[in-house]
Amino acid sequence: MKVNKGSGRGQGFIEVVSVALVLIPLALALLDLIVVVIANSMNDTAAKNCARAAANQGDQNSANQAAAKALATFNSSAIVHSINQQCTWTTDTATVKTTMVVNLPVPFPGFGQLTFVAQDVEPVVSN
Amino acid sequence: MIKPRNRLKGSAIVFGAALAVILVILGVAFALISMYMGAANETKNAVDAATLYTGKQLMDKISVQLTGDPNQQLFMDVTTDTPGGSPDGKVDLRRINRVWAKALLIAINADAANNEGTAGSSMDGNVDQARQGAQAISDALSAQLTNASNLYTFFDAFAGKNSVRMLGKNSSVSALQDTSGWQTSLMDRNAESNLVVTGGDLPPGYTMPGGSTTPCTRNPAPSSASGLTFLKGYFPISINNRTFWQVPFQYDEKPHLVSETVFAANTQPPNSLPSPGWDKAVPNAYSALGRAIKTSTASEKAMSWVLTNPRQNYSLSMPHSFVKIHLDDMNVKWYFFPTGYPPVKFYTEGTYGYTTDSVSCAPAPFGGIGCATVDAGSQTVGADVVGRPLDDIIFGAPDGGSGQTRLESEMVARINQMVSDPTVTLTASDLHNALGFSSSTGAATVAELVAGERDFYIYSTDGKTIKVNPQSLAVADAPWLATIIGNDPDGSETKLVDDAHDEPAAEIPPVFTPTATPLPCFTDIGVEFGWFSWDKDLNWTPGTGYNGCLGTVRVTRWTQVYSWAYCEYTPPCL
Repeated sequence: MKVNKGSGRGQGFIEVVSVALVLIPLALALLDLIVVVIANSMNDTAAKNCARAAANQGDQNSANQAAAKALATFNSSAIVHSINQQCTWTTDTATVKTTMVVNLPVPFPGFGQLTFVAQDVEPVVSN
Repeated sequence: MIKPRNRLKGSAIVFGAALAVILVILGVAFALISMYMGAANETKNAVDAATLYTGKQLMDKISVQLTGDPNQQLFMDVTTDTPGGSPDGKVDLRRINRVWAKALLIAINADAANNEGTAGSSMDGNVDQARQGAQAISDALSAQLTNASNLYTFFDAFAGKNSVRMLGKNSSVSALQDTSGWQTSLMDRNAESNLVVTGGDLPPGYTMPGGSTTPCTRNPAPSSASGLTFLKGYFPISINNRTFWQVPFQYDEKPHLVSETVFAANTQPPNSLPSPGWDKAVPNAYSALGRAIKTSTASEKAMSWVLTNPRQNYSLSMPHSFVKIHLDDMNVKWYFFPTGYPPVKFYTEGTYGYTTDSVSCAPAPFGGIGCATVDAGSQTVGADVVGRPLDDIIFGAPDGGSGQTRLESEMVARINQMVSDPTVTLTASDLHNALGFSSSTGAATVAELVAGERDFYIYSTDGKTIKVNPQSLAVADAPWLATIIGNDPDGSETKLVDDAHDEPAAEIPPVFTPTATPLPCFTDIGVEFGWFSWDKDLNWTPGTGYNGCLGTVRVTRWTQVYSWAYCEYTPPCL
């Protein structure tokens, strides 16, 4: 029986390509996941810092300024597209909600950016 | 030549699939670990915030009600947060130092009276009772603050405000009611309390026991603390072998979280306060333990430690107290010179008020050398007091010298003891203005004097300024005076000014011409000259303030009318 020596040619290549088609997106997704986790943590920290700064103030205006100042010290990075905060101060509590828009390093269709929202409430200690 | 074996078909796919599975597992594991760590972080943040909130709330919301015991009721006036505020009979962490400070002030007043020799027989007992009252209140408050179950509510009220979403949707943080996580500590030892000693509130010449006061211990100190002196916290302040305590609250420091290490190093026991010790010390630092739960399954625990602070200062004071001013009836004393010198008082006749009045006395028999009688005639008295405000009646002519200055100092100290606003130190000028030195208030006291008022009361309604009124107006203005206004000071009276007097050379009281009737053979009248002397005594009775009375000023004024005459012998006398 005549063996077709050429029948196995390219199979390895096809296998590698097939595997790569699965593994590479997986690896990239994992990279995105790491970014998501880090970004979420950064956003939580920013909200906490802003709320603590606002809680040390005696009125809404001062609280706004303190929260903005705290946010300004936030070390941004290439992945952070934007971050802003909204501060609500009462005589009892200071609440800061931060919204962070993150550019994913590996944008998947429909998931080029993610928006994180974090909120922290701190007791006002200035009165 | 050996041919290489053909590669196993599909091995790359198997390898790739295995790698993919590993990657997925790694990804999921990473996500789970991240969520777990995130949940731990969120729990810690939520517990931190709730602990801080608890530290703030317990300042005002855990309190003890004064009992009906008179030794506790005497602290009613310091059961308010603001100078001049309405007392509610509750003592909390914000106010406890005011309670101890009032007891201390009573002891200081007694000690000063002892030093001056004007202590009364009941003073020591009053000091003991005030201290016992403060101790009982303090012990009761300590028991409430160290009872962890009183703190859970505050913790839970705030813990739910912060999300622990990493743990799951229905997760929340609440107090973990394990008393080992709810401890107290006595931090900032020897730092300042929230009681300011202005210096003006101490009796003249009195100095606080060594080491009992301190400037602001914050580093750097706020500029507004410059020059302020505070009672020292968690330091035994001893007055006559009686110990008083304060809880330290660093000046204007906000409640804040502290490390476990520092907290633990200041717990009692094992780290006890200095001898003689404060067994039931009122703590200023608290720990709290919380846990994040999801559908009743404990998932995360966290503990936090807070050092609390009311950020409100008071001065050493007893707001519901008063100083009484009593004016004795004024009378006229008639002096004659039967032997040439010294003068002899023949009569004390008639009293007069705060209007001019015409008075007379019977002619003095042998009232001058060679005189059968000397008649002073009818004289108008009262010029020394008419139209003068209360301030002049006490401090006006005649000048009482150093004794009068001393009285002024005693009174300034007492009016500062009525003031609870630490930014206010009243001066002698404030005292004189209140007594009517200034034209605005002077007219009122003049009218009241003319109307016959003889008792006046100095008191404060706002903890910042003082007022002077007769009883009826004072009670209407400050109803709390009604029950204490009749109390006398518990010290003994001392005469600070003994017969200060002005004669014509000084303040120019009136001069006049008496009428001499010569004896037989003494027909020539040598001299007929009369003059007035305005005289004044100032008496001071110190009070500890135990019964609300910080002292009584008693003013005695009178007019001495001198009639000097003599008649010359006229020989021959047949």
